[in-house]
Amino acid sequence: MSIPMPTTLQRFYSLFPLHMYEQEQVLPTSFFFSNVSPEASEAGGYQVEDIAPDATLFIHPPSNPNQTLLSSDIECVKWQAYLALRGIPGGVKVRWDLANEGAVGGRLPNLFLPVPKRLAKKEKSGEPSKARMRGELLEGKRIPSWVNGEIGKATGGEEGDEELEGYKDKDAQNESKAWIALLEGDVHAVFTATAPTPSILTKITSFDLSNTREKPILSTTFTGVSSMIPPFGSTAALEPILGRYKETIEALSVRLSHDRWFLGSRNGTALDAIVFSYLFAAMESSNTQVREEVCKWANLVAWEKRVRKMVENATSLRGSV
Amino acid sequence: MSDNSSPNTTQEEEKISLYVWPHFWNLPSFDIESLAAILYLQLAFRHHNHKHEHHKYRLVECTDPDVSPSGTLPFLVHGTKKVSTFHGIVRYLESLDMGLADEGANKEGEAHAIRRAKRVAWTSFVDSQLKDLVNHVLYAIPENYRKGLHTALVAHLPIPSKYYLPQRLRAVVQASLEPSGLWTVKEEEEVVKKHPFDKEKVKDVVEEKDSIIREAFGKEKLVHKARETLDLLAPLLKKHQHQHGHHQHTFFLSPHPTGLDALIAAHILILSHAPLPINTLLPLLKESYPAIIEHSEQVLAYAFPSEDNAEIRADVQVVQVPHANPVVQLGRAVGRILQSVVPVQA
Repeated sequence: MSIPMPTTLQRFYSLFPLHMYEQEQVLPTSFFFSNVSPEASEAGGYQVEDIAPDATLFIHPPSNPNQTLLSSDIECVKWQAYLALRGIPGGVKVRWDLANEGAVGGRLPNLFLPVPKRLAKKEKSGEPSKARMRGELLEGKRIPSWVNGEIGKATGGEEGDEELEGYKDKDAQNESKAWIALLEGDVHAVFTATAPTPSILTKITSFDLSNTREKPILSTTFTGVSSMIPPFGSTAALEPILGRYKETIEALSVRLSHDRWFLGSRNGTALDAIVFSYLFAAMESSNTQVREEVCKWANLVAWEKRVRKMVENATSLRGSV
Repeated sequence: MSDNSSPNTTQEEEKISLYVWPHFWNLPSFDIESLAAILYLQLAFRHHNHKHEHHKYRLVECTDPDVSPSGTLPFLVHGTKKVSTFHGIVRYLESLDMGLADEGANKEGEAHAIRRAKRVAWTSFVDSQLKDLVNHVLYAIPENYRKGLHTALVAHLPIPSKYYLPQRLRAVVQASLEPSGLWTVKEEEEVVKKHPFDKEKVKDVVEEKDSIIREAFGKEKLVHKARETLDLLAPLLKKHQHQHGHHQHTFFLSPHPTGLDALIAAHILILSHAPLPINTLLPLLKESYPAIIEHSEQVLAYAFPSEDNAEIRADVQVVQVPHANPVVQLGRAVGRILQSVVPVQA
């Protein structure tokens, strides 16, 4: 016996409509295999269009969605560029209606690999093809192994190529780790140090529930560490950080010289994606010193422009958002 | 290391003063960056003494990191200019042409510039990966910390600071190790029996096994990480024939010692010279990477040559700066607070 809702209440509630989102297809876990894709399935030949149709990357919203689809968060741009440069056919779609706290691992970006519709039909006919079952949400760390697996299969799977992840040789791969450490250490510190401090109002009203910790940058406490007052607060030591930043940008420019990709790789690699994301962030930064330092080196500016065009061409907005 | 009264013919009359953490364990300093800075200065000045440009510098043993503008030691004072952090010091010396990086500058041109760029990348790699590993061994394992760094710090610090400064420094290192998962200290391990009349807790057999397994996994993880890092550094060590053909020197990435060598050698020397009871990395180094240990000892020998080669030694004057007394420190701290709250008009 239910009491009908009074019309005033109905009208009031109609001001807050309930949105229903379509259910994403998820297969039962027995069809999921490890992230490194297995060999070509019994279902027959492997076609290029089958790689990740409609792969969608959840990112932080870009600063100006009309002008560019590249996110305002460095980590998201890294993965956007990585997916674009490694050549995922069909490009990558992006959407930004997911918050940091809702992401896998507590950190955006996440890659969503939906189940392709034609496979869903195939499944009904009783032919599960192991190689293409998806419907997962991958966090950042798991993206490279997925990409390596997919690219390896699509290009005919030369074992050596897949292991080298696109680098010229083993030496270049080792050196790339050093460059990545440089970028994610010293250059990242500059962005943390020069990030605009949020106003008191935003500090009070925003909830930062992220539990990911980043490495602390060189900073001093307000009171110093050796007096009897317990240390509190911190100010970044800007001079050494900026000095090191200038050194690293110069080194990057010298190392790139006139190559098409860093370290002479044939196509874009993870290192190129990371360099691009930091250069992009530097050009968009509100701090003039950070921006000018990159603008000094013409080859870096030209390279960044070229790669930005490539990444933007490969990225598209997901239709339904 | 005595004070020579030779006339200073260079234009800058001011001497270079390098402020570092004091000496301990047969090493000029017990701190990684300070030791790296000392090694770099020694190598650079020895290199210049070879070319008959005599430089002198003053080594100041300081225990108060607040004296430096960035709050960390080492830092360099030259006249009115203050430069801190190892990389800043190397950059500053190179800008004054007193550094190590001028070998082959004009001859090779591009290759030299690219080698230099590679060095920048590798020093950053060492700064993040190798330093984390060494800091883990020094700070994160309580027995190592108690018998190693804590004793070194306490030996040099005066009365009020010796009760709180080491913990604060350790907290800073903890903050930098936690993101990479290398800080594995469990708080219970730190509790020592408070009163002599406390009954000793009879540990469960299961608890013992748990802690043994946890320790073993922790060591395995550390060794695995160390292998990853050292596997990347070991191929960079190249053998070069010395000019006279007698010695075979091995340095990272170039035929002459550079800042990268000083930095890596500092890490390895501290690992090998500090008396740490649980040192998992040293046997790994000795077994699988003896070339790296040999390199670090060689750099030390190069930087501090024996008595026979007295003429190529740098002129160093060692001075000890006493720790400021607590009232002065309080005043300094209040001054810093005021400075940060009230923006200074330049």
